[in-house]
Amino acid sequence: MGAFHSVPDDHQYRILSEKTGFSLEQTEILHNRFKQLSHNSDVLRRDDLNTIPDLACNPIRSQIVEAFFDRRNFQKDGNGPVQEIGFEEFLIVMSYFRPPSVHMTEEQREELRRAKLRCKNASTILKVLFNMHDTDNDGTITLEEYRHVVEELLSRSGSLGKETAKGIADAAMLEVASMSMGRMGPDEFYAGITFEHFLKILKGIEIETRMHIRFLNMDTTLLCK
Amino acid sequence: MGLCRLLWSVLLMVLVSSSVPVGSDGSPVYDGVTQTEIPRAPHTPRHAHPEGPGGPHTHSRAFPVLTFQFETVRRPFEISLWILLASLLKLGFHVIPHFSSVVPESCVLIVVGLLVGALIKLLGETLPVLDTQLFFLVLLPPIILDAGYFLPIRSFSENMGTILVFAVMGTVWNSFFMGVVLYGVCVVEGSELAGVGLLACLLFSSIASAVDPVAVLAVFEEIHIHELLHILVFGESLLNDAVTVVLYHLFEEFATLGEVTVIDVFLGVLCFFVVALGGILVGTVFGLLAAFTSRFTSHTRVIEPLFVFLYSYMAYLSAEVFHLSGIMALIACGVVMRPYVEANISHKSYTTIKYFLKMWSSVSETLIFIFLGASTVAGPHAWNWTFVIATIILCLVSRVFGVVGLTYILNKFRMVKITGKDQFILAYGGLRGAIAFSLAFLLSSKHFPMKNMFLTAIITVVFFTVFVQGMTIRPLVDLLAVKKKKQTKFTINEEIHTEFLQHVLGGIEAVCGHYGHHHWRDKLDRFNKDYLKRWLIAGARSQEPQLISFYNKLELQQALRVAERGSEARLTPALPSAASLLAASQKRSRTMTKISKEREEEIRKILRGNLQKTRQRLRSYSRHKLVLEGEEDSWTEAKLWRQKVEIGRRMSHYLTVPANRQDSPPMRREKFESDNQVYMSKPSPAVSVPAISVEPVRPTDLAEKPFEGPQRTVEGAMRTGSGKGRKLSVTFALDVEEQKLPRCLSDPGPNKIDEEDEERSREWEEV
Repeated sequence: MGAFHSVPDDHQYRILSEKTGFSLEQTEILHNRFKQLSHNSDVLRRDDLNTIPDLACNPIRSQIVEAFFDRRNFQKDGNGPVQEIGFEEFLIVMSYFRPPSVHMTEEQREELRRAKLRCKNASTILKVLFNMHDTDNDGTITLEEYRHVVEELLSRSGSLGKETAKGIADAAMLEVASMSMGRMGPDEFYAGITFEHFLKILKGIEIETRMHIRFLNMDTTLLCK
Repeated sequence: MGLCRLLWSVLLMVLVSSSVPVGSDGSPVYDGVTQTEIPRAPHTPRHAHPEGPGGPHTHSRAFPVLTFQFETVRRPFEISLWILLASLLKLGFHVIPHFSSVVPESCVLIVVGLLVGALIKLLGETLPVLDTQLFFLVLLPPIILDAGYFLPIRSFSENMGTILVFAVMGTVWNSFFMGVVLYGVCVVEGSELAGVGLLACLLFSSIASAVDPVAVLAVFEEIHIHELLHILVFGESLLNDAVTVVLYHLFEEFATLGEVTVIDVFLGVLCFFVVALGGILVGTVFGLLAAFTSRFTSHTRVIEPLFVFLYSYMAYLSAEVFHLSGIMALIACGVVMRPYVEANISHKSYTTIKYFLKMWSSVSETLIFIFLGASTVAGPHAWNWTFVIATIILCLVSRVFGVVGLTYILNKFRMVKITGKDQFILAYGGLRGAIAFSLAFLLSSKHFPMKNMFLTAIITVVFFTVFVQGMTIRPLVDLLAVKKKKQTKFTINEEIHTEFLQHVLGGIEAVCGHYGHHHWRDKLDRFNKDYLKRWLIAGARSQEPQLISFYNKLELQQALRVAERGSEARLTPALPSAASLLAASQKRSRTMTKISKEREEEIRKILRGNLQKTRQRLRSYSRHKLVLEGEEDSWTEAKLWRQKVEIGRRMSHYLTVPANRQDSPPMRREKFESDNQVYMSKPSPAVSVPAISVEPVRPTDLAEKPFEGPQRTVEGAMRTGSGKGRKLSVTFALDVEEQKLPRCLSDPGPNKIDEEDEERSREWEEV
């Protein structure tokens, strides 16, 4: 965490903005939001995020909150959760959801993506998603973790419960297994979804084109509580 | 009278020459009529009963054994004859092998219309003209309803902004640009065209600039471009109806009034909003009504499709009463009502709706094009070289400018940019069609003395776009290597992650405090779930989340595939698991009485659960592609019923089934589009190529694995090894064994067991 004074100044904004790709204005807006959430302190804690009312009705709230506090998302080789983050980390995690600012054709975008992903800890948005699923930080999504994901997704639908989720997660795991492992011999086993497999299963829906939030027209006056 | 006789003889000639026996009931009468009942004046029953009210006749007259009385059936006869002709043509078109791949169907139909029209004219009869009333009230609604009901919502809503911009701004730009330049041409040209005022030109160009959904559908459904392009062109053609209606009425009013003030212009803009939003509102209201009605139809399943059709048609007509946009009303109605209706109606009703819509829209389209051809021969023409050529050139030019300009602006805001190739197809695919023609036909000759010239020009434009652009677009698409439609496979992973992503984005927006797109979508979903679904969906189905329905659908397909395979019914145990537990939690009070009945209901429930998610993802709304929907076949249901005992007994290899998407044998390309799996009805050897699946994507390796000792293999396959530390072993076999009976399962929804029995027994009778 860089030293970040509570009175921001332009210079620091500029550093951050270069680092994350947000414009100066957006950085400032996000900083205001950060201050609002953290009640004007320098650090943000989980509770601060948990108290956002709009987030309360989100079924995967805990995983979203965890994403902000996961070191893998804001450090190159980091691992494990932290208890509190500063504005820089907040901004870094937000920056994953920013639409690419360069005007690229689809071919160029594909190239860039492939180049990014070749490096092992490429911090793309897919990695953030993957990290959200992979809660024990071992690089694979096991069946238990996947089941947990599905359970959370279905948690708002009432009493349907664990076993349905289990069935769905099982079927999903099988799909991944069949897709990525091909023919498996009688002694092979499928340990879990690695990042490459994860990418493969998501290729069909072109998730990267949809994973963006427009930060274009955020207005401080519209900030919800 | 003469016309029908003529048509009749034409058809007879065709049929006789191709020696297809047809029950033409006229011929015996012509040949061997025993009575002198010559068809001339309108008959009265008096002739048939010689012993009339006037008392007994003195001269003997034999009782007419065979009479000929045509007038009473004349009109329906004519109509049926036309529809029959259209359908036979369609048949013939697809029978000829390579023809359909070169020439788009619309071209052939227009040519046929021309021929028939020429024939009729030659014989001196009155020609059938594309009557505007007929067109707008009868022929157009089925096509639009078909398109709206099967609209791919996700891609449509994602691109909604772009589509709206193209529809509104594009059409307005086209109209004004073309109108003004055309007026300039008229002024410059002088002599014949001097009488054409600016407003008349503007009116003409507003008619001629609207992209036509019928023509677009007809051509684009055969070229399989990728989804974005398809939805852009198609969406634009649907939504520009509002603009066209407004502009048309606006300019017509102005032209008759003679002078335009600023207030009028302002009112015109206001009118646009009223027309568009009003149409959508009317459609939504009727859609909700239909959804609500369908909630109570559990006891009268037979008329369920009727409600869908009637409500939609009423929406259209109601909108037309107020001069609102009927097309938008129809689309809104279809879109709104679909998720709820599908959750409520029975499986068979759904099939009925789908087939009827496709059938009607297909026939409509054929008739439209034939009539267009015939009307061309009929209509009074006033050919003016300058005007016509100027129109065609301007149509193309203004379209190109419009598309390029708008795309340039839009690309600044879009995530997925529209490439140059896409723009070319967009511009080139702006086909005009019958709507333009009908609107031109509606013009009153009193106010527009140059109406015939307009008509001729419009017909020429329509012909040009349909023939030239329609025929060349397919080779151009291949030439430019435009991205084609991907074969979609619906995997549960995609489903899970799409939903997950949606929630993530909504959450991030909440964290930023930014009320963005996802926030509103989440809110809408929540509103939908909390209120709408509770009101509009009957019974416990209203609680069912999307993921579950999707999963059930997958399981159903697997189950059907397994059932198809015959003896070695290997069914995924997930079939009982999720479904049974789902229902168990929903109906805890129901205890299981008979296993067989429960299982049957389970299968039936899954068959219904099939409806939800896939239908939304149905990307093709084409006419030709609804073949062999085996999974909806009652025959398959019966087979499942027969297999149920085996299904219950055999717990099998969980692994093989999801991966078992075999490569399909070569099939006609048309069958690849719509719903997922297509099942041939012949039983097949167990392992090799059992089911004909439409998506030949997955590696089929796991299927070829030997099946002995399945459970052991499963265990072995899924257990995590020591290398990674002892994680929880994924012993599916274990899970498999856990799924013992009983299953506390019953149909959620309004069906009671009695009704199920009834339905089942009825179905057995059919089989």
